[in-house]
Amino acid sequence: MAINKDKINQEATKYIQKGQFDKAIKELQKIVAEEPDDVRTIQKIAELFARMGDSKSAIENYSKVADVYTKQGFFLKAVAIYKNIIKIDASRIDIYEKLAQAYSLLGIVNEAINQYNAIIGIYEKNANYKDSIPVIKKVLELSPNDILMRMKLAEIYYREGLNQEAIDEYKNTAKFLKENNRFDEYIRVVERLSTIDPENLEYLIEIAEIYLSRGDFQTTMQKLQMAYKINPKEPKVLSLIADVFRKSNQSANAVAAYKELLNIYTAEGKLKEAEGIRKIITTLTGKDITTAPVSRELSTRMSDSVPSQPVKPKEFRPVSKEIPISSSAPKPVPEPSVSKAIPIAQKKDRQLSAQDIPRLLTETDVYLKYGLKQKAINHLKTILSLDPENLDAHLKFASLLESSGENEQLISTYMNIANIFLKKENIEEAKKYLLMIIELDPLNEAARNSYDMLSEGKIEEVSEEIVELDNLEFQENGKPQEEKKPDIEVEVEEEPEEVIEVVTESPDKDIEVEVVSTGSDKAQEEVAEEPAEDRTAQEDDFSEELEEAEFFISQQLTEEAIEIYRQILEKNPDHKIAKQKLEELTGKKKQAAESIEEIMEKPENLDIPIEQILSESKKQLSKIIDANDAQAHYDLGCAYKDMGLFDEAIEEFKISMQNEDKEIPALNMIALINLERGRYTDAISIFKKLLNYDEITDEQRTDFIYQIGNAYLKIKDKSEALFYLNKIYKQNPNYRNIKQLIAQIQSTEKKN
Amino acid sequence: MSFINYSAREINCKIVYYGPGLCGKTTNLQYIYAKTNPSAKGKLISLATETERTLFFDFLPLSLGDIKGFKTRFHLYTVPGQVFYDASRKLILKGADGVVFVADSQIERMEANLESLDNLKINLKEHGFDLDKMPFVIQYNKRDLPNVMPVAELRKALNYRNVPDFEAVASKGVGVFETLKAIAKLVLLELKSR
Repeated sequence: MAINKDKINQEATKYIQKGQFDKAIKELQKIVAEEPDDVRTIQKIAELFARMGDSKSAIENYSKVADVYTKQGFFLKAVAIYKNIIKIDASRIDIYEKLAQAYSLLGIVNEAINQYNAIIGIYEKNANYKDSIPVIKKVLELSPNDILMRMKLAEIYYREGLNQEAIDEYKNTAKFLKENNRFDEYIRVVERLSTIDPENLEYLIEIAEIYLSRGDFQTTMQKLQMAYKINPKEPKVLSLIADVFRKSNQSANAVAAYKELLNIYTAEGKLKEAEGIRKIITTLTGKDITTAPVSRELSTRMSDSVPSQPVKPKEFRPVSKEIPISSSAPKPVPEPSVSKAIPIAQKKDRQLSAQDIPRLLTETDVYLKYGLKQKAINHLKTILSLDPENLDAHLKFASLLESSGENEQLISTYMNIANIFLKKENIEEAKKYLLMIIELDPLNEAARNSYDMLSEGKIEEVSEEIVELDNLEFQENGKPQEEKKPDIEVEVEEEPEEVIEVVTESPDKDIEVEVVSTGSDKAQEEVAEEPAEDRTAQEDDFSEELEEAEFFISQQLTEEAIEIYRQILEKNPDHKIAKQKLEELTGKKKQAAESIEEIMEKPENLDIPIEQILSESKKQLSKIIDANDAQAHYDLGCAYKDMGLFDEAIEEFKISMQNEDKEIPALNMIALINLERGRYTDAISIFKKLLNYDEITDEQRTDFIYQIGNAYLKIKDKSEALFYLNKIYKQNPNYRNIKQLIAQIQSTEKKN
Repeated sequence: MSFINYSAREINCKIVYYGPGLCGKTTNLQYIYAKTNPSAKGKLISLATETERTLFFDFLPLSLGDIKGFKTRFHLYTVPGQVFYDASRKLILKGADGVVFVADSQIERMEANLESLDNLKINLKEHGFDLDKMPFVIQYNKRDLPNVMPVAELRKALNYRNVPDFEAVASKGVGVFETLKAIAKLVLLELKSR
């Protein structure tokens, strides 16, 4: 049946004028029933639903209109409709997507990106990072050089556990930045890569090279130090380390690094490279070191350096065991003195001797007990540098490596253990460890051959072979024979049993030797003659205990330290250090206990002032809420308002206003706060400002006018109040308490 | 007191989760946040210390449908339970429309529950509210622990008003939404009656 469209439209208009939107919609729906593609009518229906506050139906009808426009290729019209939908419901991801597509088709790329950004923002707000990935990819399709977006994508990959994707994305970003000479950003990206993929030397080497090219030796060395920790035998790292030392005029340290490099090249059979390094060393030192292969030198030195008990002090003259790498640029060392580098775990600046080994082993156990794996490893390295054949240390080291699955190093360690057992003529144990190597690395020919030979009884040959392998493993801990003899002679007049502390004050000064204790009777007598307070020898009878106590203090295990000091004092009540330390510790404890007691006694002290909490909270908030998260800042403003923290609330509303969608509601809240705190003129001016916004709805306009009238009433400006309130009364006499307010004003006027 | 935002056509109601330290107030909000439709919730803002204890408050805005064309937004808050944050608790209670008291069911926490309930009454009184006259719900949390008091005893000690009460294991979500629905219902009824 044909319908009279004009007549229906007239009827609908009448209903609209009367505010009877639902009836108007029913009329208009008659037209749509006959003509489903009548977009103008559908749009009118959508608008009416929106005015009624029926968002769902409004969006449904707007969507129909937009879809028809899109099908017909009227993308600009579709955009206008989608925008209407977003105004009703700003959380519609599907609509933002359609909008973005429409903008893309119109060639307005920036706007398309803005829509995708809005979607990303919604996902982020809901911590739904994974779903934002395809959206970010779309943005990158439109804007491939958006580095921030690329980094965002990489970070989301990383956050979602997609490490390889994160690495790839960062790599692409780094490549782009490098190609475009954006080196500062490039460094940041590569630095990030090195944290995501910490075992990858490539990035650290790359950053080190950049810093080196900029002459920043300190940062270069920091990066190389990290790289060295990952792989101390990486030629590129060692080469760079040597380079830094050379460029910073530290030729002795450079030589040490080159020697290490030479050892590696020699061991790997890279003779050409080894020859090149040898030439450099010769140039730097003025000495020809071409006479013997380094591995042979090491081999000789290692077998010679194995200490026998008891140890003579001179044999423990400190010899560089490590390439000196420190975060600060090392000071020059006079050529060809030994390097001042000392084992990592060594406390203070004191050089260690073999007599420190039992203490170091005990401390290692303590470190292991408290899960301080790296410290334990450092201690074990120190022990092995002092006594490369310390079976205990090797076994502990192997056990640590077993738990961390570092097989390469584990194989070397097993080989060392096998060697030690072999020297002890404990063939079975040696075979056991060789077998363990074969289990880990079935293709390990050295272990297999050794095992076979041991099984056949060719002990001597095997021994030699293992010694060589052993030496290679420990080459970083050793020095060639001629270097073992120090250039600065240590003058020791005391008996060999004496323990000597060697303190390097300054690299360009002579090594200072200090006798700190003696085991000889003569020395004992000398000590006895000294005043009691200077009885360092007596004090050092407890050196192990004291060091252990210090360790406990450093780990904040005060109770354990106190116990040790008490034990010392039980044996020697006059022990000055133990006494002093115990007083310090117990004093501190007492002080702490007293202060807590004091607080507990005064209940008012228990209450933390709100200012303090607020200031603490503000610091945290900046970490929790992104500055661009307008909704969160708006909500927080509401929270502060609820609590009467008006200044804080206004601050948050102002932040949220940076997003234009929040401008009107936030201003409204600020005006309401001003009303609440009695700042009526401020409130009036804000509400008046709000009235000038085109985007405000009829309801908002009515409310703002009402608030203005109400505020004028508060400041007793009745005529202004009446002016504004009457405006509303004319539109809707039943609006809130408008009748009462007007009546109130009029009655007071009559009285006057 | 609930705040009607005519311009935004919104009614904001304030619900405060109160209770002794470590009773599970934050856990309640975290569960609600985790299980609520993203479109109905705002960001959960948790101001916590380094040890994950509430420093100032947790805040979660939730939209719970419409009343006569007005969106109802519930602002859920927790207070810090530790004794020395009383100033914060007072501040957060300001303008509360309803209170959920989260009790720790463990026997050894009974005294802390009673202290906290007393503290709630005192702090409400400072704001001119009477706990006996406002929407109030009790949750007996941590019911999965072995050393809990029987509910009857908890009820006797804490629920003298005979308000709606719920057993809960907030960490698993048991009783969390039941508690929230009950307090929301009471708050809305109160709102209607005004």
